[in-house]
Amino acid sequence: MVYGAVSRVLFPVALVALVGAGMWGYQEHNEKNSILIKAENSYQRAFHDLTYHVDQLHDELGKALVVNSRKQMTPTLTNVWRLSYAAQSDVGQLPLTLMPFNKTEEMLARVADFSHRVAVRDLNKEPLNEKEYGTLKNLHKHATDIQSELRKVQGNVIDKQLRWMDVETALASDDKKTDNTIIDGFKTIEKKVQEYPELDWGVGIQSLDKKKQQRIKGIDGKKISKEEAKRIALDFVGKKEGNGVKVEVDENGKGEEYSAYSVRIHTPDDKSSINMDVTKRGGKVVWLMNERQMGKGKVSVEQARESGRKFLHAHGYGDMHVAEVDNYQGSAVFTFVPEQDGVRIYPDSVVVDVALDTGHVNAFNSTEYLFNNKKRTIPKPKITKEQARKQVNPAVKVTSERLAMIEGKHDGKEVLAWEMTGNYEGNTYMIYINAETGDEEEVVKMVTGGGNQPRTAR
Amino acid sequence: MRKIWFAGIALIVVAAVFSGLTLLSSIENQVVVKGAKNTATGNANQTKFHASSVSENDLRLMANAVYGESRGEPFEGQVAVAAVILNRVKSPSFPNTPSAVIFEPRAFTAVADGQIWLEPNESASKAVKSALKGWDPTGGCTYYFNPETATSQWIWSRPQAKKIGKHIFCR
Repeated sequence: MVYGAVSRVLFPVALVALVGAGMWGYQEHNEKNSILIKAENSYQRAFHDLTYHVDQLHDELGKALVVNSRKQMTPTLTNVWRLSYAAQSDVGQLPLTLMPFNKTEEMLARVADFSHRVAVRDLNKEPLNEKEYGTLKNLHKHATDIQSELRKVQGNVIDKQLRWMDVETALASDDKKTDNTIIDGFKTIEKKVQEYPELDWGVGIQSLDKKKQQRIKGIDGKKISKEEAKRIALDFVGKKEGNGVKVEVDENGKGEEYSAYSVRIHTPDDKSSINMDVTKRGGKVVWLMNERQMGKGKVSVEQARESGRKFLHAHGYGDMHVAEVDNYQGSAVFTFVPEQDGVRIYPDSVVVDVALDTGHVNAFNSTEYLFNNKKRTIPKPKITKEQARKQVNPAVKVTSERLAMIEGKHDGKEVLAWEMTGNYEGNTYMIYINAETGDEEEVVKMVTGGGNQPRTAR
Repeated sequence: MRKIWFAGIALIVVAAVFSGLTLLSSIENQVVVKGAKNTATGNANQTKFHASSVSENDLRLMANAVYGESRGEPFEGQVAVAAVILNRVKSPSFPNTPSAVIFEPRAFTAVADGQIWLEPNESASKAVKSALKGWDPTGGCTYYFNPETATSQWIWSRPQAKKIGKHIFCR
């Protein structure tokens, strides 16, 4: 009979619990749906924005071909730049990562670069040439294709109420059998873009591409074996194998920009490894990183700078000067550049990280030096220091100047420039005036704080 | 009769406990955004003279992403992840800002499951700073994956550069 009493209490309790669980479940379900809708709306917006921008891009490209006056060309091409940049950013918001869409993204990026380059150029001095008109015509044709495909997909999305969330699930499940209109539409665009013949993007972009190819081809020199790489690495850090010192050498795949062995040196006292890449040709150390835990700082930044300089000298880099210094988390990181005939050669930079607890070099990176270093004849400047100073914005207070070789922004070729260090509204800027033409090449904002400026101590 | 009642009650108790547990674990998973400590620029004695590249907040965002993606990895692995983010920013096939690269849908698992909001450690911040100064253990890679957990077939077809820790880096 007790059970009767128990059940009379427990039954309503159980019923309430069940109803409660049901209500909670229903609430969760509603919340989930609203979040799903929010995510879907976000993707829909990115997609419709993309179609809108490509539409306008197509129209602006057409306008650029028809426009006759140079005055109208600049704003038209500026619009082309703005729209292709916006379209590229829209693509970045769509869940397409698992599907190759990079050729199209690349094309949009190229259009942006090309139109920007031409738009900011002085079109009175250098109007569009035949090749560039040809490129614009081709771009207009390509844009027509992409626009029509996107319009098709957009039509389907609106008519059939397709959801981007389904695209995401389809791509994630890697299921080849799913019939998804959106994915098919984008795949068609990507295929079309892949089939376009190589466009003539003009001197600027082409030479940047060529430069990249040269970097990928790598450094010259005799091919070295794994054993030699091991020896070079141990020599570089001044350690010998044995006594607990273990060395591993990895061959590495073809994916790297340069071909190199990865060497890992394990020392018993540091309990961590020293990692470095040694090029397969020429056996040069590209970079080095010591992973040990660092202790309290005992060395000053000045002493660290000396230590870095000595290290570079000992490893065959000659006399180098500090161009930049940064100090964080127990390290002082210096960017060293060589000088030739009193001219600073910025492309040949080497970055050295000196630990402030031992004063020893903790990390080293000479990727730029290895790729850019070559025999150079420094031309004589055609513009004097005073003439260069006149080219600087009069509101900027110039504190020092020197000659430097920098990588020109226009086409990546090296350019001799006057480097003016100036102050404006509390910020330090480095202004580069071309020493042959007097044009302003580049303005770089510097982050400064505390301590000595590197140029006061040599 | 008694047995049925007991069975029924036991079932409801089990269901209640189960839903309670799911509720609790879902609350735990909503990791709260903690105000990150202000590290670098506070110290007036620090020496600095370098070209400005990314803002302090972008640095924090990248450190969060690196920490979320490669917490247990050696330092080299963390610098490698940071370098991949920067290589993507430079590449024409990816968005043009660090945050757009990090938040690109489905690009990083740490972003997809909320791990990006965990407080990063010193090592992750240092890794990002090293990558910004030019260190790139991957040699220019823009993709990486964990061979033990990767589900996509497509990522295996990319040309591989090297393996650092648990990740294989590829172009």
